[in-house]
Amino acid sequence: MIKKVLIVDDSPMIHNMLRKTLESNGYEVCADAKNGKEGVELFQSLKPDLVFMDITMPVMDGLEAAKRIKEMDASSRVIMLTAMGDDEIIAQAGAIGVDIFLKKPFNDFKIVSAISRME
Amino acid sequence: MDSRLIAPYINSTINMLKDMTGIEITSTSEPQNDSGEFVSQGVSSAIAFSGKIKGKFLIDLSPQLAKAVICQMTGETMEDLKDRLFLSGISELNNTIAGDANTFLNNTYALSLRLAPPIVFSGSGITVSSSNIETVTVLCNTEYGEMKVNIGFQGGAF
Repeated sequence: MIKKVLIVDDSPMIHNMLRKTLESNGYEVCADAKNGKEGVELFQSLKPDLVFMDITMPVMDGLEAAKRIKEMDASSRVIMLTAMGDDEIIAQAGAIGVDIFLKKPFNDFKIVSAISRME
Repeated sequence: MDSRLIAPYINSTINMLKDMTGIEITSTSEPQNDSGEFVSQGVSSAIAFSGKIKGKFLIDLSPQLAKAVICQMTGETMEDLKDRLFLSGISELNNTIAGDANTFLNNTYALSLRLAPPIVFSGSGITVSSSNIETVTVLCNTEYGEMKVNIGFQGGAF
């Protein structure tokens, strides 16, 4: 059962909006990471049930971070939440093992539906 | 500039602004070639991208429109145009518009465009200058005020 969620995105607004959506639907946001490197470190220390991962971030992008998380734990659950959604990048994410790919903008229904598919 | 590079950004501006905030663009001007210099009117965000060609996309919102955008995003009224969350919202709007346009261009023309993290700044009269990039500006009108979008690609075509 998914309860604890890690958000990895360099945008404070995305953290604000996604946290509101998740918490109002009963999920716990265990941490906010502002780049892929922080995301990987927090995944290792907090072992969340689910990770929402942006792609375009400084220091380490989301594809690299997702790859490292999947290498650490093949059973980890990663939802890509990103502004870019072309076929090439979706294929790259799929090859890494990302579970669901969502293109921004998002709404409550999109987020909750995606999590339900992962349960 | 190649019109195939302009239309996706205008379409994405209209669609993403509506999807993210419910605000409709009521009219747009014809694209105007400019010198690569852009003078801000309120709150602006610029994003660069590269792939088979390089380019940039800039949005510039009047203060009233920027406040309306952030109010719709957060459900709260925010007056401080330099607030971190406020600026982040405008940055995210730019990121989403550019991402949507680049998605179309990549899927249609295989340009493999990838975005850099956007920058955002607040204040009128700031000049943003890009040499070696051909740019066009389009004025977009809403009930809350004006938004300028500036699109530039090195070489102006692909």
